[in-house]
Amino acid sequence: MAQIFPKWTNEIPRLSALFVGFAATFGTCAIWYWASPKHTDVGYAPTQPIPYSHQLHAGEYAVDCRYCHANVEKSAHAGVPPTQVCMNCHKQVKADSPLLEPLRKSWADGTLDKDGGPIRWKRIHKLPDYAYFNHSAHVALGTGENRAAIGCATCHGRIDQMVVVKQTQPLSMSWCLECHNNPAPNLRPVEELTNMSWKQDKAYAAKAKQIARSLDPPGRTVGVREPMLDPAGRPVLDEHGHPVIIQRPTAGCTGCHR
Amino acid sequence: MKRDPLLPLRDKLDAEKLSGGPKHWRSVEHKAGEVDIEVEFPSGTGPLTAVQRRDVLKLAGATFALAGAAGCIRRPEDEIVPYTHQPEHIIPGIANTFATAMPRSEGGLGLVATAFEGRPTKLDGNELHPSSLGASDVWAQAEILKLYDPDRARAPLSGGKAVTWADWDTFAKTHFAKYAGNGGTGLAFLLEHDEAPTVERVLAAALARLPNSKVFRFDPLFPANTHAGAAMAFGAGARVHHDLTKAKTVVALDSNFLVEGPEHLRLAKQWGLGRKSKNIDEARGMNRLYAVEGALTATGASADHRVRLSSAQASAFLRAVVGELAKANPAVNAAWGGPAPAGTEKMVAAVAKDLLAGGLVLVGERQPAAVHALAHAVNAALGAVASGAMRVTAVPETLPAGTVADLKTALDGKAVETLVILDVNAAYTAPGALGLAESLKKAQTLVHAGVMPDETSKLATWHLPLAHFLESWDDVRGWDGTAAVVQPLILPLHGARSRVSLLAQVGGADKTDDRALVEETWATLGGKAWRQALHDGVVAGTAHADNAAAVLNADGVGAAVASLTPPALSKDAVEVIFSYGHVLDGRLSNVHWNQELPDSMSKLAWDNALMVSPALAKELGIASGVYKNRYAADVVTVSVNGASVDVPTFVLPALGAYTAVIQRGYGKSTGEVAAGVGVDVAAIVPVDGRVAWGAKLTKTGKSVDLCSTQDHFAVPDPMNELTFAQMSGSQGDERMLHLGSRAIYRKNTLKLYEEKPNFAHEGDIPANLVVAGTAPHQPLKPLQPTKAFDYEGQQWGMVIDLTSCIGCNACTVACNAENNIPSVGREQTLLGRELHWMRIDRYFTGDVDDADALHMPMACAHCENAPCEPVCPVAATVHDEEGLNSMAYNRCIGTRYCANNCPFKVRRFNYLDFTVTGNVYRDPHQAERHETLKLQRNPNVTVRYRGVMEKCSYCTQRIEEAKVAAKRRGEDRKQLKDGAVTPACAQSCPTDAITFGNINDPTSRVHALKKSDRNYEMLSELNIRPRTTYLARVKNTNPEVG
Repeated sequence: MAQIFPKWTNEIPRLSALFVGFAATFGTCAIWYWASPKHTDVGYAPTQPIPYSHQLHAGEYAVDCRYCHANVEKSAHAGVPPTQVCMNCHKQVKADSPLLEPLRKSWADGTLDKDGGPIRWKRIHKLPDYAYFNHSAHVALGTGENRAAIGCATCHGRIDQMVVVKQTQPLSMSWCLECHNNPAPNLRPVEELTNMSWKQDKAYAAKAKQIARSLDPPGRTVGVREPMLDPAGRPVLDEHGHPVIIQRPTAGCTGCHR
Repeated sequence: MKRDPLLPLRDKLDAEKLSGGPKHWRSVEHKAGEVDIEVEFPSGTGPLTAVQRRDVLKLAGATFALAGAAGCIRRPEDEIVPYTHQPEHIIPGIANTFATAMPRSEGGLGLVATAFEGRPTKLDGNELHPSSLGASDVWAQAEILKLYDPDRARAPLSGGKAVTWADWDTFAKTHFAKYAGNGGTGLAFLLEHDEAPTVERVLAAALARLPNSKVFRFDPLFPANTHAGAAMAFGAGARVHHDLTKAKTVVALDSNFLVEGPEHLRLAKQWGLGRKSKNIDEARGMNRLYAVEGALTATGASADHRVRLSSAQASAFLRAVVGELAKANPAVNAAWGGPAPAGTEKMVAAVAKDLLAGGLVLVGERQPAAVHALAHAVNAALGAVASGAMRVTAVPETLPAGTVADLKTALDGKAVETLVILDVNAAYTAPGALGLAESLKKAQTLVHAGVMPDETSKLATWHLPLAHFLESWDDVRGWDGTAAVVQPLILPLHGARSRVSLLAQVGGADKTDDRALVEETWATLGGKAWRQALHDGVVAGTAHADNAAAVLNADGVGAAVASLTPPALSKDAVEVIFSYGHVLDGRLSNVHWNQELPDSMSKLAWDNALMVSPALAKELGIASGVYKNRYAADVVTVSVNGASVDVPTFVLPALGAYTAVIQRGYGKSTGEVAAGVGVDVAAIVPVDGRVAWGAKLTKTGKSVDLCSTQDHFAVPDPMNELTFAQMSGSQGDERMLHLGSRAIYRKNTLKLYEEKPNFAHEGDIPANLVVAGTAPHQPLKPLQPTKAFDYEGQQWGMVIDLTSCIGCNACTVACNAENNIPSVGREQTLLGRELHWMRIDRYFTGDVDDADALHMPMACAHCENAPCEPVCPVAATVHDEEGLNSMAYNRCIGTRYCANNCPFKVRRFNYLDFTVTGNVYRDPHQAERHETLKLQRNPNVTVRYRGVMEKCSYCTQRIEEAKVAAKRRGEDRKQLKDGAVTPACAQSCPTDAITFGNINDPTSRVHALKKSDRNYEMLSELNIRPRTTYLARVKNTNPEVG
């Protein structure tokens, strides 16, 4: 009697094992890449209720970021401007533009129970509720000579070139920690906080390294292990004759998670 | 059976120490070695209720829905909603604080309210207010949750139906116009006793318009005897204040002055100041507190000597002391003296001797006015007025008002047609003997304005939702007369109106705006002083003036004292004390924080019970006690004055033999939280008192479960459970570990402290203790790991002074409010799942009948060698560089290994989603109604979900806020100034028993305390190196009786 299955079918289990292996690897890599905030969140650019252009306001007219995001140096939240701030200019400028109709409506009857109410902007940069980011702790840090800032553009990108604002950085925990472990490349003088085009020159890069050493930012992932020294500078030995090692924990979770 | 680890040492150890069972015991059963509690995670769950079954289905449905949705939604869309017109001073993310004040029966209390974006989240004491001095208590803290109570009425109710305020205005206009015509005949007002200037002014104006209308006052919490006692001693309108900083000895006669009564926060602060010491030199100046009481109060537990006498015999004790004093001091009238109650002769002599050296007698509200008057007379005779320890002030006359008994007569006689009740729940709180609820029905129109709908509003024709004090303009007077303006923090949530407005409206005033009325009261201040008063929270210079002309009415006092006839007590004639605990007279019954807060002494939560002494329980055959994981309580019928009520019993050590105590405010029929919790005992409350004598207790044969947390989260007993003793067995006699003195709670008398300044460390295992290896070639191994720690920079630590902790629980509620800690409800508390980060362990020592009670606040100690950390499989709990044992909720997978390994038992697990679906408001159909509760939450603290471990974080959000603030100013965030960070518990503590700070900063307060010889680590033998340490308690006992 002839064999029901030809001989090549013997390869099926082996091939399928290989396939499963490939599929699993591909699946892992795919999730690793496509499910990470680098892919899911970067580039997020929702349509806003008013087509406000940062390119026009922050870029062309060079309005300082803090004119609208006024609380960035005072509070955890940079703040989105109240209708009032928009109307400071738009009472005169483009006062009858149809695009600004929602703004005028909000200004005219700005109560929650009435139709107008506040303008409901779409949030672009969003952290999970258990992560407590504080703007004011980042726009000015260090003490005395080592005072420096992380510029707006570092995390938010070239806002001055965006007609529609989009997220340019993943805002993931590993992204935060990259900078917390090595803040030097992202430091800049406090005066250059809102300067979108500022770049570190060589002289400042050297200074930034020195500032970074003084910072000891929270959330550092690299712990400290060093031998304990007695007052005379000799290593302290334990009862086995081994040097006693000081273990300083990595900077903690509490800076951002409470 | 568990092997006794001490077996090889039994004969060597002090026989007495071992035979007596544990030295510090949690319950009568624990002492007897009978407690059979699964201390860690009690097994078993409550029965599945119908609601829970629905939840299972709901969750199943949600799972499928989410599984489907997760595939296509990229990320949830979120909105940012800015203001349209930016309000002044509001910066999103930055808290604003405002001074305000809270009306109280015992004088208003100044508070500071914290608000985020216009919603108040927390209340704290106002440092500038003389009754607070920065401290707050459980009742003041709880008011924030009452503000957001979902049970508050959303609209006026007419005959139980919701109507609009316009309907009420229409009704009021015609209805009260009638009284404008007849001068108010048939109109009556029922108010509380809080001496608020604007309310008094508006009421006086109403009475001027309606001269025939009547005013009645009823307030079960008003210290009527205290008030009357001062009047008896120094004439009408006199009020007596005490200053404990000027008294070396304080005698608390049936008084819980540290925790309740007029100015208790100030008194507690002053008493605590007199007990602060870092070393023996400072300790020598300590004050001394004698407590004479039958009930067991926090004051009694804090006292250096507690004399166990019934409330009935307290007056006899005082008279005996007076007799003794009269022998030495001619200013004391010997005629007021009397014989000492049996067995107290020595104590009477000792108390008298101490009082002569400068002391004060404080009398509790339970005692009749004559005893208060006698105490004032004694204090005056001992020179307390001259030394400033006692001050007599003159209180301006208040409007004449009838009592609640007068009200009943008027109602029964049909003299009252319309009764307007301003936030008095008279139908529930009035003594049962009066039968007021029936009489209230006789009023044709009953208008009840209340913050909460309650038993009285059920009887009312109209229930008007009253604005909470955080929603309205008002003012208050402290007990010392200091006026404070009540500033609203938020508009009325449900359109409620303030009491000032309503009173003005029904009184026929034209102007009813509460702000305008309050401003009118203080119009004389002028703009600047008014703004200053709002800013400070006190109106400067408004305290009652000293009454220089106050002369002691010696004859009156003598006559009143002579007429005192203390009743005799026996097992058939028990004295029943009605006390007001965390829910007061029911006004805070619907606040679940306070329901779940274990009582200072019995540790009962979600229940009230008749406390009986072990002796009485034995005589009557009451067998209430701990069986397995529950407290099975025998129910007894208490019959007194012709009324009776069935109540469960709780056997509480150290009570007076024939004294029984029960808390009021339970057994309510209204409120989603309060209804059905505990027993209402109003039926047996006598008309004019807080004590009923001659009660007979009969067993009913029934038994119910009570919810007591006294055996929850028990710290392992070092006497029996630590296996280090086995190790020490190999060390020989000289290595004997002094097990007895390695107590969890360490204390000593001042005299022995003098002899052994190092007593708190006796028995601590030497740091270098080593044990031999098991085999000869093995080197000596250290018993404890010798890992070194780096103490660079800012290192947080805490010291809790057991000498000044009074166990008042203010810290626990403050922690609840600050850290978004949900309540779990009665069923879950019975299972030991309460989530309090801060608990106060109550231990007893000594004999059950005359035990000493001790309080020990417990929260995460942030151990340097934290046993919780190595067992976490996901590193959700790790140390940070400043010594905090941090908890990353989003990493926690809920293995509970950490809690299992924690020797202090301070880690709490969210068995259910207690914050939203699993809390005390369980009905999912009502979820929308419960939204208001979210407004209370602190935005700086994560709201935890089911399956996550949590614990004290040293208020890390406050540390971070302080660091970021320093950063903003360009200061070094690693060198915060001492006092820049105060955790919620330390902030609320009335005696400043909790000190927090940088232990590495030689100038910090906590550093100084850590160096004190009384500073000890709890369970130091485990070498876990806790950052929270305790200062051993020093009792200033009198060597003559001690």
